[in-house]
Amino acid sequence: MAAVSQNSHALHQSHPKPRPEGRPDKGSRRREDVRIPRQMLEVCRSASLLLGGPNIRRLGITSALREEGRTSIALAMAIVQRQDYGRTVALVDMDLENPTIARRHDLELFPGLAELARRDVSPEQVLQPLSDGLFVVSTGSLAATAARTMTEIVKADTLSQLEHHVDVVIADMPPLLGGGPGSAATRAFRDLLLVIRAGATPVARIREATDELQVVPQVLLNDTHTSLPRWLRRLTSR
Amino acid sequence: MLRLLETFFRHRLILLAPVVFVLVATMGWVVIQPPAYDSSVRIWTERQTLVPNPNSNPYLTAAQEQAGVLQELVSTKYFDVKVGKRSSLTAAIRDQATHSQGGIKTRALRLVGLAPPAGKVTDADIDDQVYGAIASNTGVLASGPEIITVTYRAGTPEMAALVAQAVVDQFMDETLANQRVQADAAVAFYQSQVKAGQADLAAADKQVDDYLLANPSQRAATAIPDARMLQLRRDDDAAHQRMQTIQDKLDQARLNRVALDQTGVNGLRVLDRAEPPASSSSLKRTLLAAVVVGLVLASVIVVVGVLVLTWTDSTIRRPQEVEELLDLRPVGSVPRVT
Repeated sequence: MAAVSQNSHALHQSHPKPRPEGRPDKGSRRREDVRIPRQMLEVCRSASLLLGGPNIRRLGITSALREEGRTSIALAMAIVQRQDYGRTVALVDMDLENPTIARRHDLELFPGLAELARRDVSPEQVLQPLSDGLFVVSTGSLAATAARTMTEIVKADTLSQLEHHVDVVIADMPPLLGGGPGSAATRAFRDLLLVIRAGATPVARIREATDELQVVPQVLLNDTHTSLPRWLRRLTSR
Repeated sequence: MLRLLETFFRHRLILLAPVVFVLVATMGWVVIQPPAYDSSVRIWTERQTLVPNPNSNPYLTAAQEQAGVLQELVSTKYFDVKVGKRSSLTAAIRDQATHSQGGIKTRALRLVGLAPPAGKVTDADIDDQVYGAIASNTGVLASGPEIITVTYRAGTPEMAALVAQAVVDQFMDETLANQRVQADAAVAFYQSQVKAGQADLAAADKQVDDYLLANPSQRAATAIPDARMLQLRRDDDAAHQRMQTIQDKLDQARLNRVALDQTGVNGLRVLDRAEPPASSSSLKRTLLAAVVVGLVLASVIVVVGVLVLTWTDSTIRRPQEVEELLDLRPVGSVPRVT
């Protein structure tokens, strides 16, 4: 398992100011290691290079359905950007209906993207440090439906506000299918990474999900495995 | 191929469960089978030299030829009914049918009036059962160029031996009977030919005698025969010759007929008579058959199962499938972390 230390919170000069004193920073309080499987990190490292490496400005990580490993991949891509290129990264939780990043890392659920879209807060206030140079933007508190909020986020180009404070924005997007705002969210990205869980998502659903996309996504196959026994793998050189 | 193998190993429990079930079921079937006994008769067969068979095929061995004939006969009801009567099989089947209540199917049919009451069986039913038993339980094998092995399987050792021997005896009788009929026909034909020839010869002789009476000058030994006399003598010689030929053929036909009454002249001789087997021979064969059937069934289940599971699997499992099926560019594949 690769681990990204949270010991240091020293940010680049253009980095946001620390959160107000009155609001406890749960992430910095817990100081846990962000654990990502090393193999996943290696794959994301090569995938990141194929996607543009240090030139990526905004990357949306999406999937056709839930439970395909989208959030883990998003986190891994964020860590790669930080570790390999030394860039400051904002990991934005755009899954408005089922936010997980903040909960998973014991961070504040709000203020977040929704408040930023409403201009209730400044970008500095929503960037929560997860580790050195890696910030998380949680979904925030929705004032309207998820679809309406997503439309506002896309229309107001809220992510560009974040881009002024970090080098790269990586978004954990909602799934494209399921009636959520996933399809609308893709309009905010020129680079999309579609996570497909191997052996789980039917091709027909993936086609259905990608048919309406305005951007041709790149694909990262997640959770691949072979059921062949070791001796047969050796025999077939797999 | 690899995808099929992957499917098999991925669903190995689902696929192997019916296989185990089939194997257990076939083994159970073997266990509940009643014992059966095989008895064999070996016959020496050779081509007939004294009485040649016009239908003989020179490209087959004598054993192959006779085994083919016997197999054809065994598959006929005519032959099997005779074998049944010759052995005690018919009596045994009749006895069993009279005292048996029948199986579940028979009892059900009897309830709705579609089967006769218990204990009442017709001769035709018995013949059918005898035919079915002999046709399905008799094996004929040309085990050498001149040896035929006839095997019969029955529920008791005695019955196996009786029927196996009866099959061979009946076959030899049938073969002899056929040859005798042909020989009798040949004798009758040549006898009629001889009678006709004798009449022709007598007529020719009389014409010569009559001509000599009418023409005394032709009687002298030194007389020069005229054209008419020459013609009559030629006709008479021809009649004699014809008569001799027919007589020769009649003699040969009579010889053939007499030869058929001698032992072994039909080219068949029993080497090993049927003996009641000391032990059941069915278990090994039944077990082998059950294992073969079980393995074939199991293979079919596995193959069909793998094909169906692969065909119904519409998910993506390898990066190259992303390009093939979605026409999208894969940038990596994350292996499962176990």
